[in-house]
Amino acid sequence: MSRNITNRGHRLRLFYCIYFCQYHRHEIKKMMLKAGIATARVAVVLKSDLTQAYNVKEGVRVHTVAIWGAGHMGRTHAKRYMRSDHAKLKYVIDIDRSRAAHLANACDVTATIDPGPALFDPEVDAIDVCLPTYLHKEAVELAAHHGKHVFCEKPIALTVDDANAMISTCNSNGVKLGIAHVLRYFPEYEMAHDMIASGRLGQIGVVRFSRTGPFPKGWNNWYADFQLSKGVFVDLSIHDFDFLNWCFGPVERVQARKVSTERPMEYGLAVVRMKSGVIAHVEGSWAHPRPFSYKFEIRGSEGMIEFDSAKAKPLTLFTMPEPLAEGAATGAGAGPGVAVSESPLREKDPYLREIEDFFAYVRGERLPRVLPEDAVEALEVGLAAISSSDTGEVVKVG
Amino acid sequence: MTAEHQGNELRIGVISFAHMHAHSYARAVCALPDAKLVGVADEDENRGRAAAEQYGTRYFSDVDQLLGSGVDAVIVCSENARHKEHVVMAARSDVHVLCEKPIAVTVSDGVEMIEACRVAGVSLATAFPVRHVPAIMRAKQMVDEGKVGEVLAVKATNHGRMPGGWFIKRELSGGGAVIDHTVHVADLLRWILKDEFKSVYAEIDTRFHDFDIDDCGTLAFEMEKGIFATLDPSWSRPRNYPTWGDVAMEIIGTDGVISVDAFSQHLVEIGDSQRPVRYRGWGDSSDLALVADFVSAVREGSRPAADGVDGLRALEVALAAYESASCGDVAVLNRVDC
Repeated sequence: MSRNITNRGHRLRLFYCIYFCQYHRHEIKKMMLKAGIATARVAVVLKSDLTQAYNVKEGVRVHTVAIWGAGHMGRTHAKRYMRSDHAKLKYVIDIDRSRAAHLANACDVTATIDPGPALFDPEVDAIDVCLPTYLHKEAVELAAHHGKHVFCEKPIALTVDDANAMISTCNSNGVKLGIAHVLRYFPEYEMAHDMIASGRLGQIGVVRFSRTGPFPKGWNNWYADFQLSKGVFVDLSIHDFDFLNWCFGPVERVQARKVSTERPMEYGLAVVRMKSGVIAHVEGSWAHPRPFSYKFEIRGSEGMIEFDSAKAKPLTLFTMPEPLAEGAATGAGAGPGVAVSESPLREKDPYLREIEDFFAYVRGERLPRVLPEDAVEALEVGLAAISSSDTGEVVKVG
Repeated sequence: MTAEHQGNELRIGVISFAHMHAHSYARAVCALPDAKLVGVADEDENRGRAAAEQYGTRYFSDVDQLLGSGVDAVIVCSENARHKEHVVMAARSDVHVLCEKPIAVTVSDGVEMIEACRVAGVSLATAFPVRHVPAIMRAKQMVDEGKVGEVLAVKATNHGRMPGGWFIKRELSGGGAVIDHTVHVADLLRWILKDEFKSVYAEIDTRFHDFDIDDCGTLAFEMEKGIFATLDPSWSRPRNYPTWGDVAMEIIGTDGVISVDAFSQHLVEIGDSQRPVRYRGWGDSSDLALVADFVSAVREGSRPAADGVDGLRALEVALAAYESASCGDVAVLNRVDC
C-alpha cells in the first residue's frame, strides 16, 4: 500500500516538493490519496519529512501536543496539527472512548480516555484543551501542575475569578497559557483590524457585529445548560467582544437584552460603548435556523467596510436529492438538493495560524496576538452583557 | 367633505420643497388618476417656481394663497420645525394634510397639530411610506399569521447618508440622524407588533462630521409586552455607497426568523466613468402607495395608514432616545394623551 513512499526517489521528490511548496502540501496529500495511498500513512510521512526539513534547515523545535476533548473544536485543531510545522499531535484524550479512538485513528496518534498518559509523558510539551467551558479551569490547572503549556479554547472560563486563577497557576508553574480567540486570526477580521489601525477609515463611529446560527450541538447538550455555557454573550458574542477590544481598546459600558426558550434557542443584542467613544452593536444568535454566518460593518469618518460570510462563498457543492420513489406522483420533480458552501484557506487558515502563534510564544520568539488577559477582558464584557440583561441596568465595565 | 369629491379629482397642493421627498410625492400625485397637483407654495421662490414648472402647476409665494385657492389637501414638506405652523394653517382652512415625518420637533407641537386637525375635522396623515413597501407588508402579514410563533426580539437598521442643508441645523430639524431615522422603524415596530414602546436606551454621538448635531447612534428599545429591539439610525452611508441607505429588520420569533430588507429589489449599475457603483431600485414605489392611501382616506373619510397620533408616538420615541443619551440611562416613555 505504501510501496511508492518507501521508494527513495519518490521520497526525495516528495521532500523537495514539500520543502519548496510547503503551502501546497495538503494538495500533494490529496494527489497521493487519489493514487491510492492510505491517509494515515501519508500524514505520517508528510509530517516526518517536514519535521526533518525544518529541524535541519532552521533548527526549530517541534512541540508535541495532546488534544483534550475530541468534539468539534478538538477535531478542528487536530486537522491543523497535521499541517503544522511547529507542533505535532501525540494523544487524543476524550472521556468517550470511541470518539477519542476515532479522531486518534484519523491522525495516527494514541487515544486515551484518561489524561494521565499525556500528562506524565515527558515528550508532551503542551495540552490543547478543547473541553466544554465549565471544565477549562480544572483541565488547565492540571496540565500546568504537570509542567505542560496550555492552549485553551475560548471562552477562558465562566467567571473572572476562575480565569485569573488559571492564569496565576500557569504563571507559577512556569508554563505558557494561550486562549484560542481565533477570530483575531480570521483574515477578514485581521484585514478590518489593520484598516482601522492604519487610520484609513478615519475616526470610527458606529460598528455592527453579528454572529448567527442554529443552537449548537455539544457533548451532553452542555450548551443548553446556561450555568455550564453562560449562553450567547459569553460563548458566542465573546468573539466580537474580543475583537472590539483588539480594535478599539477597553469597553466603557454595556446595555444588553437576551431571551431564551425551551426549544432550545437563545438570542441576544448588546449595545457597547467603548472608552474611545466608538458605538458598537453586537448580535449573538442561536435562534437562526440556517447555516451559521457572521458579518460586520465598520464606519469611520473617511469610509466604511462591510463583510457578510453568507455572501463570501467561493465554493458551493450542490448535490442532487434522492430520486423519487417508485410510484410517486409524477411531474413534481425531485425538489431541491443540498447546497454546502466552503471558504477554504491555505496559509491564512486561522486555526493553523493561532496554533503557530501560540507555539512561537512557547518558544519565546514573541508574544501571541491574544494574551490570557485579553481573554479575561472579553469575558468581562460578556458577563456585563448578561448582567445588564438580567437587571435591565446599563453596566459599567472595568 | 367626502361626498363632494366623489367622481372628482382630489385637488392637492404641496407646501414647501425643503424636504426632497416632496418631489417623489408630487410625482405620485401626478400619477394618480383621482388626484391633481394644483399648486406649490414655497418661500424659496426659485425652488418653488422650478418645482411648479417641473410638475406643470401654479406657484404661490404665500401658503395662505395656496390654501385659499380651493385645494382639498396639502402635502407638507417644509423643514421639521415648521410642520406645525403649516399643518395648523391648513387645518384652519379646512384642508386635509399629509405631513412629512417626523411630524414635529416637540411633543407639544405634535399635540397642537393633531388637535387643530381634529377640531377642523380634516384628516392628518404622517408620511410613513415604509408601511407601504410590499416586503414590509408581507413581513407584517407573516407576523400576524404567526409564521415565526411569538415575536421575541427585533434587530433593525435605518441607515442613510448625511443629508446636509437644514437637516443639520438644529433649530430647523430638531436633531440629526436620530430624529431623522428613528421614526420610520419606531412606526414599523408599533404597527407590526401592535404594541407601544416602554423604554429607550441610546448611545448617540457626532463622529463622522465636524458639526454639532448627532450623526450616529445605536438605540435599544423595550416594548410594553416585553419584546426588545435595537435600531441603528446613523447617517453612516458614505457618499460613494451604492444606495442612500436601508430599512432592514430581523424579527426573531419562537418558531423562526423573518429577515426583511425593504429596498433590496435593485439592479447594480456600474459605470465606466467616475460614477460610483449605484443600486437602481425596480420595486413598487412606496411613495406612490403612501399618497394613494392618503387620497383614498380623504375621499372616503377613512383613517389613513398612519395618522397624526402614529406620527406623534414615533416622535416620542426619538425624543426619548435623546433624553436617554443625555442622562446616560434608560429613558421610560411618557406617552402624552391625545
